Amino acid sequence: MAPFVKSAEDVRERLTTHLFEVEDIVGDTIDIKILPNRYDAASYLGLTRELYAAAGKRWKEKKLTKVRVVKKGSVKAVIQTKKCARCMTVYMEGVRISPSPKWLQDVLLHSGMRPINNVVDVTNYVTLMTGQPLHAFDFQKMEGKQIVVREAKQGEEVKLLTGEQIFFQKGELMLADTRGALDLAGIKGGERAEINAETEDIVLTAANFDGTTVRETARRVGVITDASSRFAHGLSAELVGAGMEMAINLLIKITGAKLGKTFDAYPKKALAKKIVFDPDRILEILGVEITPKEMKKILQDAGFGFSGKQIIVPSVRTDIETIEDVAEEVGRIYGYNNFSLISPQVYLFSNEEEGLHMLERVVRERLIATSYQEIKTHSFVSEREAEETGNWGVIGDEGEAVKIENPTAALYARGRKTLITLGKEVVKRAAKDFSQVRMFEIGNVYVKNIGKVKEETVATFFSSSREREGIREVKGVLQAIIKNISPSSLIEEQKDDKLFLSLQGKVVGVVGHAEGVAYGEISLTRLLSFISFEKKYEAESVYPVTFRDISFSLSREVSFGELESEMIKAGRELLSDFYQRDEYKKEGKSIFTYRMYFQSKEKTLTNEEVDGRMSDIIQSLSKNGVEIF
Amino acid sequence: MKEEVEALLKEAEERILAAQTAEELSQARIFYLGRKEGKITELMKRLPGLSVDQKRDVGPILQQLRVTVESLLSIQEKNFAKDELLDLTGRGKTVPTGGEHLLTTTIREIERIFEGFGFLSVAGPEIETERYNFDALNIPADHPAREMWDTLFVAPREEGRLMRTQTSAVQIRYMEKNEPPFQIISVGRVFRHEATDFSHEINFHQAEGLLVGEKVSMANLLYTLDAFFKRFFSGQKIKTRFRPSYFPFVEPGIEVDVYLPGKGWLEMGGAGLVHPKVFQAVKYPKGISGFAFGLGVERLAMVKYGVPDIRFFYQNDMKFLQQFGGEMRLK
Repeated sequence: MAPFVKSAEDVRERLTTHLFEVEDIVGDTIDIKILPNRYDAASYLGLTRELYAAAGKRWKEKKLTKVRVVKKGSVKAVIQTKKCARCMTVYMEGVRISPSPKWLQDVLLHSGMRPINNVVDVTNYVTLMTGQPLHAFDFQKMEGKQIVVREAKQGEEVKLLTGEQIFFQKGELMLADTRGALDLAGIKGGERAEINAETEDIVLTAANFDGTTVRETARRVGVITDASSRFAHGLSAELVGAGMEMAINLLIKITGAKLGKTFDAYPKKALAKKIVFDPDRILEILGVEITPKEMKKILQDAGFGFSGKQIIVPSVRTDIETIEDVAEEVGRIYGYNNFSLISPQVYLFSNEEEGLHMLERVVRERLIATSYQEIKTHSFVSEREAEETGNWGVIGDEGEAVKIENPTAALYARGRKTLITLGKEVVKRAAKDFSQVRMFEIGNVYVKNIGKVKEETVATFFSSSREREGIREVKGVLQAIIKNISPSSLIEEQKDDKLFLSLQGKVVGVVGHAEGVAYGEISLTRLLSFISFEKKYEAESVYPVTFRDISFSLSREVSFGELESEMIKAGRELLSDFYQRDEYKKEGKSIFTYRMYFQSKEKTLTNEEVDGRMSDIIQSLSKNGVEIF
Repeated sequence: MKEEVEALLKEAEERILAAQTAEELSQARIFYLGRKEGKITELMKRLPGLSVDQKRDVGPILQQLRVTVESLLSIQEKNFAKDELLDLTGRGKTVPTGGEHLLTTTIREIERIFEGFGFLSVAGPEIETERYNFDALNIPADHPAREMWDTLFVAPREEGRLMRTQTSAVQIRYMEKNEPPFQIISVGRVFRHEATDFSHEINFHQAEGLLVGEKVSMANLLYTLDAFFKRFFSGQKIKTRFRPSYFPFVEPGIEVDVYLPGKGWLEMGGAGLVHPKVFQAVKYPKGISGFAFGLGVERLAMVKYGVPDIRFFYQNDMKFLQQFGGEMRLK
């Protein structure tokens, strides 16, 4: 239809750059991705018009031969719902049902449709040509002499051409005769008035239905057809006439049918939309120098009319409403790849980087520097995972895990409430092959509490080091992160087997150990209100540091936390640091070695001074039921 | 004894200089200077038994002998040490190192480029309301375009919450709180109700850009995208191509393809001028214009780094992580 087009590849190039993406070319068939707002062009005539316009040419549609009404028979079209803008019916007598001519069958086959018989094939062919769905009924099998478009009552039924029995819901659309539904309107024809080898007289119908109704019905009954997709995307009622005209013409030629009366129920004829032609505005939108004359030509090629300062939108273009839409027409037909590229003006921000964004970056950099490897896990967990580990994180038991209404798999039934659930599995898997696995993830977690959904960004880190060491490690990492960004001091509290860390009464982190993995989780969202990146130099002691080791066993229930605070108290201002250096078994007892560092800000310490302070520490520890070795 | 000393010095000099190996040298050291039976040591041991005069006579030359032999030995030892260089050829040890996930690397690259252009990075929630994800973006409830995004809803459905299907929701949140002009970039996680395969994941990342000001044009948008891709794929001879497309929140709407030598044209994202209805939804005055774009982060990473399967990003296989991140030691 467009002789200047040389090959399928040529079509691909022209359509892709000016209209639709061509997905695939197989033999003579070109597979095109129709944009949801451009079903007007989802037809051979529509595509031809577009190809002409894109080539800077104007297409003149061929006039069809005039046909004459020779029969008196008629079937009236009646619309009884607002959900149908137009319905046409044509009565035709004496069709000779047979297979279609080869050219017609070929077109259908190439378009992925199965040839059935000449009448059905013509309606399908006309849909492909014009974009207007049509349906023909067997007149002898109908009751009464009119077709009514109406909304169904609850529970009315229809048997589709596929044999499927459908029960209507109230408000869904049907074409009906006096007996009842003839089809599922806009979706699929009914079996009762099906065209078959015995058919002699037919009623050809074409209508325009409300897209939303068709879409919802099609989805409810699970019957999505070419016709239902077309209606769902909003067709122009003007297409009905074009489709009807072509179908009548072909049916007379191919089936030998004699034309009866035509009825056109079209209560509110769609007025041609008019938009003020504003070349300056179009220029502003596109940013390229196209003259008003060029614009006008482009629009005329695309089927737009002009009347004074008004643009007249072609009736089929339901998508065009504003000058922006018109500018898009000019832009795409002119070709975006012919645009000159012009730098935008950029506004210089004085805004700081967003707090959370910065915090995320700082924490990530720190964890990487501490030799942790970043991972990314899914945002969803299974019901069981949510139940078993959902409360392990910093959000704890502040609500339930967010439930997904329509998960794609049971694995994704809930939103994650902590990154521990999936992260610990990654670590366990890696720890089979690697020693000392350290990993972390930064991401969002969700919790629902009394109808409210809360979302927080957390940083979660894992270590496969053995139990006590692993816990000390992740705790150390957590403390170092917070120390680096917040001047407030962390308060810790152990509850069962987890340690909660808070700043000014607000829990910001948690540390624990399970399944051979030590984990820590910090809420960056909560940390936000405590951050300060301001740092000031502080004078350090210039005198040397000395150390002493001390080994002891715990002889009654006392926590390391308690012992360590005793050490700090007894060591006073001279104890500058300490850490647990070793842990070993001797005669069935666990012995712990601590290294204590001493340093004064005023002088070099003598051995006697250090030993004196050491004996204070030993004394204090002994009082707490510790046996010194 | 003086003669003895001189003879010993001569002998020692000869022996030390004649030594061919480090082993011979070390034997010579023991022979003369050994703590128990070294020749020179023995002489030194005899010193206390001598008379005062003898001591005054022999003492210094004995001392001289010791120093001479010692320095001779050290010089020769150093020469031999050269033959026994430290062997540096063994394989380096794996030092455990932390590392970034490839997606983070890609996200940071995208952010860095746009930050360089003057864009500000902002974030938004992953659980959104229908208003931010659809309504305010000119996608009303009965709009067929909603089918373009297969949505995961939060239960119960009536509460109108969903897992955001696109980062465009951030546009609305930002515009509600800020007046133009501005330009922002927002990279984050989005979700789709889709079966998983090599190119689809239940969650993935998008980079959303928004520039709002006066007289912002398509030519500005095309320039920005072209400049971004040239930097993102720097070193490769790339081309950009823009195709008409449709997204309800932009008008005109386009898709952008990048041509990579050897790979052909690859679709990278959608863009367009912000739809006037979107500006209306955030109550901006008339005369404001802007552009927006959305790019697939995994897609960019897959193309740039040759990753064949989107699922690799979320499987956290150590080998994959280490290719682009840190190092860990095998057991």
